[in-house]
Amino acid sequence: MDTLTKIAQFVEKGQIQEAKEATQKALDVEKIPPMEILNKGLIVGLAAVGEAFSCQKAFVPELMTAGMAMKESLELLRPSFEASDSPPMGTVVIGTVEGDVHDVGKNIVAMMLQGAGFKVHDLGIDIPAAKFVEAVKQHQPEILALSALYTPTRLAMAETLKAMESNGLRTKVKVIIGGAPIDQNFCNLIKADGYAPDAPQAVQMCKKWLA
Amino acid sequence: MEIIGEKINTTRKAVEAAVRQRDAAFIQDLARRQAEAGAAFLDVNSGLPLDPEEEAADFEWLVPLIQEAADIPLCLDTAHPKVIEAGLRRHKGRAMINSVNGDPAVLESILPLAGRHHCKVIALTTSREKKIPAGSAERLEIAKAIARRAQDHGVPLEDIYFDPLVLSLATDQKNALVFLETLKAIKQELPGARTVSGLSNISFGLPRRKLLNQAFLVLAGFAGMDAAIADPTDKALMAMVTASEALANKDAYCAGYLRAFREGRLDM
Repeated sequence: MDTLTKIAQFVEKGQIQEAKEATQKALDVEKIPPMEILNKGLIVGLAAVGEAFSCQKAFVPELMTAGMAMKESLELLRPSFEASDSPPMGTVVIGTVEGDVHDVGKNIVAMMLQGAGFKVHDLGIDIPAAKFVEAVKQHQPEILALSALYTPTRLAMAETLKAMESNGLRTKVKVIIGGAPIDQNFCNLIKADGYAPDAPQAVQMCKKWLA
Repeated sequence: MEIIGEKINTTRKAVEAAVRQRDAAFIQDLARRQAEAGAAFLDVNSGLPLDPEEEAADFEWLVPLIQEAADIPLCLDTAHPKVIEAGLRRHKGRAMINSVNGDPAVLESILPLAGRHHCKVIALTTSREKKIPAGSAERLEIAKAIARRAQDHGVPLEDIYFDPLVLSLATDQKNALVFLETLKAIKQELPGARTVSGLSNISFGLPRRKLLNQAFLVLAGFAGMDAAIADPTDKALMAMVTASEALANKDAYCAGYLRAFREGRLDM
């Protein structure tokens, strides 16, 4: 089996140490270009676990360990990326809205977006609308991703969208929302651009928007 | 263990449609079935409206409607004091408020209402300042701070149901243990206080969720949990409550267990 296939399998199975070692070997010994390691190794593995997840053959802990394997292996590639200055897939500003302090789901989405090649600015939790506005002005992302876990705090998503509108930013970003109390119905109600029920589908949606 | 029936919640699509269309028969049937299955309280959540005025109108319709079908107290599940007030105006008996947390603004807007109307209160051990503390010691500190403010507003410890916050086992394998530690610490440090939790968060992201929910219920019951927000029409779950209470020495001469057996409530 070639090293890239091995990397994909290690990521898929969440074998962090093995994934890192294989990535290092591919880079140092086999001199495979980092973009190829990313596209034909790491991303293939993460996509496989994402697919298994969407048909209930893999579960959240496996998604997380695969994400960690991906992220840590990606760290090894980063120096060569920065040297060659290859552009990221796109930029995402992500955060949990005001009044809400949950971040586990948001972190998984951020991690998987990074894994898929996006540049991610994670603002953290309990982020007021004004902070999102500031971050969108500063980083000029294509996508704004909002998370909420409490039923009451999802209303802060509506506030955040209003603030984007009144600052003339609403048409400049696609807004994706998610979290336990969110569904398509709520997405339509507050006029966000999309709702994703889980992290792999969030990544798919973001990729589709930028394709 | 007191069961707070969770089914009247507009995050469920059929309930959302029934509330919007003012389908009284649908709501009353949900209420009746939960009460007959042994619920001590019925949670009422109409959280989808973006406007508290609309949510308040929902509560004014829902509260008397539900109590007409089920003669038990309700658990008013909303973040807005205005909506709570609207619900309390129509409520018979002592309502429960779901919920407050350690955030001073939340406590100062809701505890006075609870004191004045003699309500029970669910209190989450989180705050905006401390977020969701990872450990039980900090969650206990938030519980103590809430207890102090509640006493100032005339809400006794016996009327506070602390929710130690259960997070998904899938995202951190320590989450059930941290929950149980926090629950025991609250029972020990704030004697008289009650404890409550939802059951389904623990299993989020894992397969065969009902199995984990039931095992969690047994462990939490053994650690002293007083109430659970759950589906009382889930027969297997309710049978597990009955069995675990007998095992935890909360059922003298196993009378409750035997009554449940004779009434066919242990048959699955």
